Amino acid sequence: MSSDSLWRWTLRALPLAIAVGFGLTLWVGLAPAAPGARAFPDLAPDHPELGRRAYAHCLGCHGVAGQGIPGYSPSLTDSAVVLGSPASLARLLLNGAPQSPRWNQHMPAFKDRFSNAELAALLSLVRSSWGNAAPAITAAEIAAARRSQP
Amino acid sequence: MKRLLPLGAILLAIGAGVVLGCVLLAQRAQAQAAQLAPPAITGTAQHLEFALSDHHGRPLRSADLRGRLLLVYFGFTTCPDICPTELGYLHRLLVGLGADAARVTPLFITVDPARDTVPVLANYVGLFDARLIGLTGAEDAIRAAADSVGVVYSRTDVASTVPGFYLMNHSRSTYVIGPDGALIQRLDASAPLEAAVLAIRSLMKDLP
Repeated sequence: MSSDSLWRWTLRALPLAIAVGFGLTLWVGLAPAAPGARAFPDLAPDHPELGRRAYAHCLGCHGVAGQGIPGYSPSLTDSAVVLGSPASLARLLLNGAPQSPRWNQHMPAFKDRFSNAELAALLSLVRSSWGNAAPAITAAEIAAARRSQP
Repeated sequence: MKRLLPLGAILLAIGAGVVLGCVLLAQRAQAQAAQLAPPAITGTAQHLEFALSDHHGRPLRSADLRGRLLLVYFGFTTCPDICPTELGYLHRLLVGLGADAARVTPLFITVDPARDTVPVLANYVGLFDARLIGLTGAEDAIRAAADSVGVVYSRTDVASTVPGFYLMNHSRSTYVIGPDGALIQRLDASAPLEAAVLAIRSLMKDLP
């Protein structure tokens, strides 16, 4: 191809190239956000402090040592719910729990407040603190629990 | 080399498209934020006045902070839902302000001094944001601080098996206080974060 015809094709392609750049930018910029906002946008998903920081949202009811308040909010230590199925625990945190005859305080739903990584760090911290010794929960398990929502 | 020039022109054209797209997205975000920005409070005679202790036990008075923009939240550390939500929002607001966050002072004033002692506050505020200053003091000093900007709160007994267990009902807004101590705006977590960032940035223009 001669140099002249190459430039002719290039000039013809310029509007298309501009449109490609423009379209890609809008596609990325207007894409819907991933489920679950990040409560700590300044911390990387694997930041070691993520779980402890997220627990700030829990300690009003469950206490600094997960002890809970009898009749008001359950203890997180030696709890079958905390130490049991990761999927069930994840769903409980995502959807919250209503007030009940046993517990006088409802638990809010956290699905829109935390990212998967933040919820995983929070639950992993709770499952390994205050005498608890259950395996960590991954962000992928939280994502799966989100997908399994009705 | 000459044959690479057309490729360079194409790449430049794609770059120009990206720039155009970014400009459009920025304009759109700004228009949305301006539309949603919470209204400023005008004509208020309320000025924040307090003489309390910070979460290190050091005395702090409202007069010490004149000249700064303050973001003030009244709450309590055993709050089950509203305080963590609002303080989490305050943290994201500070992150959203980026370097401009250094020009504001965020305060958390407890309305439950009986339980929120200096060590309790010290443990609590840092979990939300290292820049957040916790304040506590005598019951009447806290009541005076709350009254100065129209914050209301009261104790509510709650049924549990712990005798005397209670919660605090309280105003849920974050109070934006100007450099002269005047209440100029109230924010809460229901306002879109981008709108709040824009509102705070616009107030910074008047800072000394």
